[in-house]
Amino acid sequence: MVSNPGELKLWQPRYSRLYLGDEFCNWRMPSEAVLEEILEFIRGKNLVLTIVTSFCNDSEILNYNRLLEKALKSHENIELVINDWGMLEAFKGWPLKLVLGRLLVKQKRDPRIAASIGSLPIGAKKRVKGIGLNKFLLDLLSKWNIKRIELDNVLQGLDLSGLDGFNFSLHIPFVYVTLSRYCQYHTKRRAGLEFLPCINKNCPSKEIFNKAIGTPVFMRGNALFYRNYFLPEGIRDSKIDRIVYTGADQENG
Amino acid sequence: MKIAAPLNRFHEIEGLIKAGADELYCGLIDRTQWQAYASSACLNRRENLFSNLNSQKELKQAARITGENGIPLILALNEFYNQDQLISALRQVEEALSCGVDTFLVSDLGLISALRGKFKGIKLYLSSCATVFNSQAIKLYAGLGVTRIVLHRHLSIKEIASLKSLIPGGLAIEAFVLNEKCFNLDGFCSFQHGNTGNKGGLNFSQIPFLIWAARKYVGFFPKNILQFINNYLVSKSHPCCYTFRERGSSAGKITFNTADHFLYACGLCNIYDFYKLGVSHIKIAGRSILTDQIKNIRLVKEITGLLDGQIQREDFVKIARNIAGSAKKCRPLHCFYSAG
Repeated sequence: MVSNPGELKLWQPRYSRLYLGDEFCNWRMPSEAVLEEILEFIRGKNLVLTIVTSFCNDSEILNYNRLLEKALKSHENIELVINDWGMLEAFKGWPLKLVLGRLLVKQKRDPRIAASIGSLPIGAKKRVKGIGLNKFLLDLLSKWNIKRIELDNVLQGLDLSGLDGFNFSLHIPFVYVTLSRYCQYHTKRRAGLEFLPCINKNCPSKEIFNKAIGTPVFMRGNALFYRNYFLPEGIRDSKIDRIVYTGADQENG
Repeated sequence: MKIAAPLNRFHEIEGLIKAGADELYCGLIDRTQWQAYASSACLNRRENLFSNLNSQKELKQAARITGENGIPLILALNEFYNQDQLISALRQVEEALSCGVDTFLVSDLGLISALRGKFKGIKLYLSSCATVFNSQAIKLYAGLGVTRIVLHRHLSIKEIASLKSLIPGGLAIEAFVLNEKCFNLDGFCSFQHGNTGNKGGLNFSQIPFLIWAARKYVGFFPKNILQFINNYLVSKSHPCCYTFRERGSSAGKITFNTADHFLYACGLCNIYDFYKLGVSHIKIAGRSILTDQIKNIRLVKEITGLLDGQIQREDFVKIARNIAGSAKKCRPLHCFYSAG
């Protein structure tokens, strides 16, 4: 997954699909110029494109409108990862393959869960390993022609039972934990004076620690992640048929 | 403008009504749910026992009291559910309906779809956990039968104005004031507020019962101890309040939230803006903390009483700040709408 052409230097021939965009930060939507460069890149390599979108306001939906029109002029078979139900409403009639993004998949991602899962009652255990989608929501997804769901590789493991009829993508190694609409890097914010909106679209990445969390937390832009390099057991026989490597984006800022 | 206030503990209900709440909202965690999910996967966004009514009997009595006072009672079912939880949520809806509660605060599209097909005549309000930031999403939810939208607390006044201008006129809009301002986006945040792993022994969630018992049977609970417990409760059980240390930096400490944000969040001045924008309901937050909601309702009631169509914003803000002066320190960090 990349959010700008600079990250294409990390491209490897074994990858078969390029994810463009940012799922968590509406400030990091690719510009038309970036999209053009990426389209040129995938044309040369005969790749397929997935455009990733974040939660957004009405004017950002209009910007996506322009971007997608441009992409569809030269490419077919484009996937659109939605992380905002408004994006579904806006683009459900378009010739795009819609994918349910990680923000709309309600996995339990608190890194502390892995340590406490053994002591949880059965119902809670099932919930924290599951992905928080019920039959009624799955029926709606089918109605809206959404057939793929994006997942985080949570430490406590995944239970995808009862989710027939869908394909799954698994993001590695970064598992998203939380995000904000406020800036983490603003000096006033750091001094505890005020919550302020974004000031810098190229925020640095930082690794941070707290004993109670137990695992290092990775801070990038407006979101927090933790790392999990270990693939779930039995992944080859599971419904997960795509691995999305998000490391390039996060590790290199 | 109407005031919606949280009902966290049953014994508070009459005080909240007397103070001037126009409607009450609550969650329910009963014994069965606690045994199934502990504090890790409850049916509403407040996983602690002290943030919820604790039996159907309490819900029934609450519905009776609110009904007698002509006040709606809203049941929060504002989590996202797997199939088992959805069945529990639907069971809770049936129980609530039998108690006379017909209004639900929801966020899961699957639950909305299920309720729409199964029960006629119920009212669905969209929780801020549904993370609505645009009119397209509102259109989607309205199409599924939602009649009121609780705006996300991260929206600025400008964004609320823009949204209000784009959405259908028939939809009611509710906006937050007071308590529980969080750096993270509720609805997109995966941090567990409950004491994960607890199976029912003594945990943070039971501290408020001790306070309540002390007040009831001993007569008082020292205020500074209450404050300490409150801070401790929030800062220990909410990982979003933890302080992190940066790798490779001696001075680098990062705190996303402090207990302060939860306890002293405000936004009272913006009631004027809400009034002008046609926001129909003011929501007093505060299901996860111990705070004097009676005082909060009185405060909001007095401030909304200033709105008569003639008052200018500058005067309103000045008077509102005077009224709130002793209760709330005015700091941008505490203001829900400091971004303008």
